[in-house]
Amino acid sequence: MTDESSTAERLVLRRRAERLRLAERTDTADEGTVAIASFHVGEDQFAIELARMRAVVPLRLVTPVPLARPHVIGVLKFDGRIVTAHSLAARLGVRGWRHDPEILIVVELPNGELAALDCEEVPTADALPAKRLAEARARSADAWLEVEGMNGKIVNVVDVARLFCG
Amino acid sequence: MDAQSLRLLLAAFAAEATEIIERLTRVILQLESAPGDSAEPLFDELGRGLHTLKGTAGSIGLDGVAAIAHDLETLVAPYRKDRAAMPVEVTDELLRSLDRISSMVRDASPVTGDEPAEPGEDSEEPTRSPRDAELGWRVSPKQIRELMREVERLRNLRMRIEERRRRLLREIELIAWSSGDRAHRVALMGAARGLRTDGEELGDVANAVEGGIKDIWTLPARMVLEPLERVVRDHCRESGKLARLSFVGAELALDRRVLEALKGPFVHLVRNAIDHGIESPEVRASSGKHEVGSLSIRLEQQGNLLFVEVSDDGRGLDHDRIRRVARDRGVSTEGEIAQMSDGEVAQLVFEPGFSTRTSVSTTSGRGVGLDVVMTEVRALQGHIEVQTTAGQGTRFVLTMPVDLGSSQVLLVRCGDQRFGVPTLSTESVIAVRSERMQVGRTRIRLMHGDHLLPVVSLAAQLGLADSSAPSERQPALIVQSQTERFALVVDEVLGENDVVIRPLPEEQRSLPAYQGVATVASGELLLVLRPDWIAEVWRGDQKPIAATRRVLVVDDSVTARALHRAMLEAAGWTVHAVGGGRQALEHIRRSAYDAVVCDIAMPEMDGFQLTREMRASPEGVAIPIILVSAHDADEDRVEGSAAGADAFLSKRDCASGRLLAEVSKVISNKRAHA
Repeated sequence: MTDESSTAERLVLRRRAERLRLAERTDTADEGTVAIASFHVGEDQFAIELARMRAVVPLRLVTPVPLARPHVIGVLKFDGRIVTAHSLAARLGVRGWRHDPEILIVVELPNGELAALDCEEVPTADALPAKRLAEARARSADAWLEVEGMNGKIVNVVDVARLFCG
Repeated sequence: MDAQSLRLLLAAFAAEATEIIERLTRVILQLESAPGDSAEPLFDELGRGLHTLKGTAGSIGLDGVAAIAHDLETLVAPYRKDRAAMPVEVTDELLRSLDRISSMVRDASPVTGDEPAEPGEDSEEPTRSPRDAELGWRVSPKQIRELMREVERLRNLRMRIEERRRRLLREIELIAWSSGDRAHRVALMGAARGLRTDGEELGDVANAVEGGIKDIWTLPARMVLEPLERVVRDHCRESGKLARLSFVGAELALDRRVLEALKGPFVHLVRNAIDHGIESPEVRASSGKHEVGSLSIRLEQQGNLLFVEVSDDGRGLDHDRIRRVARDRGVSTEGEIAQMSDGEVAQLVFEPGFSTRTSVSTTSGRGVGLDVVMTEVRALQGHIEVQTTAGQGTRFVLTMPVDLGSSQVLLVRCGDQRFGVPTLSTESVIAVRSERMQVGRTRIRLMHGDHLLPVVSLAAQLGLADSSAPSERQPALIVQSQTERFALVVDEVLGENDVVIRPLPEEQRSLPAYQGVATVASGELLLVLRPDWIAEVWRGDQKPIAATRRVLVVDDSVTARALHRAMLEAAGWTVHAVGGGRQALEHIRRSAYDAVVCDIAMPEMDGFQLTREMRASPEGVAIPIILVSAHDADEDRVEGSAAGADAFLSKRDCASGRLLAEVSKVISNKRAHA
């Protein structure tokens, strides 16, 4: 190894170490947060924990199921499995919406089954203080939990387990 | 002979002996009831079977087995010679001796169990018995499911090829027959023909692969049903009753695991029928019945649903006695029992600990039999119903999904949705002629051949539209479902397809209308209907429909339709929903609505155009129309009003709960001005 190359390598290694230190600091900062996917239903902001999400797919090839409960939009095939698509607004009792939903969020239920929820927009990644979410969960047995976000705004976090299995 | 060779010989003999013993048991049972001349071939078969057993057992050193077989030959010889009926004690001895041989063969065999390979119910890993190891037999439920997925893919591929061929033919039609295009056209026609033969070959491959998988994974139901004849015979001997068991559908090939799981329930149900249903010969004779009771097991597979009926012609369930026992044994409280219908009381026999027997015998009275049946059926994700008529008999109907295999379905259109109807249940497709229809107050009938058949609207059964008389030449399927035959009216028959039917997701599985769901060429899912359900609903739906407030929702967005429906149904409205203007006009022509809620932006015909067409038609001129738009634009309100709409709402207005208020308001206004 020449001096020149070792200097170059040392530079690269120093940069890598710097990046790792930066990542470590960020991780520490995020330790108390829960990653969420945030979106609107009607006028309100809702969110689902990212850990529950399997995919976001365009809402197409959904087959309506006559005689199913009103909140059931239909069934679709996702990843080789037959999945029920639900109207989130109808399930939550929200009475209207801004745009016709064009997105489906596929979520994994505690029993390993998949379900899809419609959504008016592609969700954006965000984070919530884990402590506040845990407090909200302890406070209420509802399928959605009002949690104050980082910016002070209220986010309605949909508890997938409670919504489907509660 | 070395040890390895002897093990192989013993294994082969065990399989052969099991088969011979099963056959001889059947023959002995038939001989017991066979009169005179018909006994001759049965005696011959019995003689041959015993002789084979003796010879083969002796050749591999199983002298004990050979000696028993020899004694049996001696026992049977005089009756065989004279073709005389064997006394029941001789039959008992024959059957007991065959049981002994069976047990000795099992003990001598190098393997345990007599099935080729029986993977565990829950195990996803292949299981391997010593014999499997020798024969290289290794399979798991997961592997079979994966192979079936591949068959499904092959079938979908076949459908896509057919779809592409049709599209290609349509394009070829557009190419002019000018001299320059002729060569291209001929070449393309050749390619289309090639696609067809490729598709057919692919279909053959899918059939062959599926056939192979079924051979591995299924058994004819008779393998589980035939041993029940012995159970019936022995149990009748113990109880002093007489009964004969018959089968329908015994050749049906079914998933080995399902059959294995049904073995216990069959035994319990058959014993239960003899213990509690079939009367003694004297009682039967005094009540005008044949002294030999009739037991029957009927199996029928519809798509991926298996129906099993176990019925007897005995005394039927005694509802009062069940009520009394349920109360005495603490199965239900007095108050609960008082509220129950006879049907609900009958279901109590499945409760743990329930038995109407006052004493415990070797086979019943402990109150575990039917509880076990219910548990096994539930474990198969099935359900069980009991139907009974006093003095005439009882019928247990077990329904359960069977996951494996493809079925042929007729694709039909109803409104803007396609459905599958099992081809097996469909006799023919006809075009309805008005002169052959009889329209009554509550029902419509159709003369088909020499029969007058009820006319059933698929759209009405599915809640997609009102029941109305079919229009001239509207297609109808002549459907046979159990004892019912009816004309099922649809909007269009699209063709026939081989599809793999899979269960609906768990939360939709309780919907009785569907067998399951299948993937079609476009990748979308097709709901496959249960003809039995259509017949059941139709039978229970003979009264005129009660007057309810009805709204027609017109929106091309499937989610918007679901939301409107959820909101309006929660407020007590009956909602029919369609995806476009043309279907809406069709609905309005056929049915009366109190209001129409219509999206503005729709392909083909927008909300303004639909409003104008409704106002120009006698059926739609007076129906209140509410237009809904994603945009709250003044020009939309003006154009809507000019077209004849009664109200305009933005989807934001819906968000603030104005939809219901607006629907009520426009209806009141309309009535006030009428």
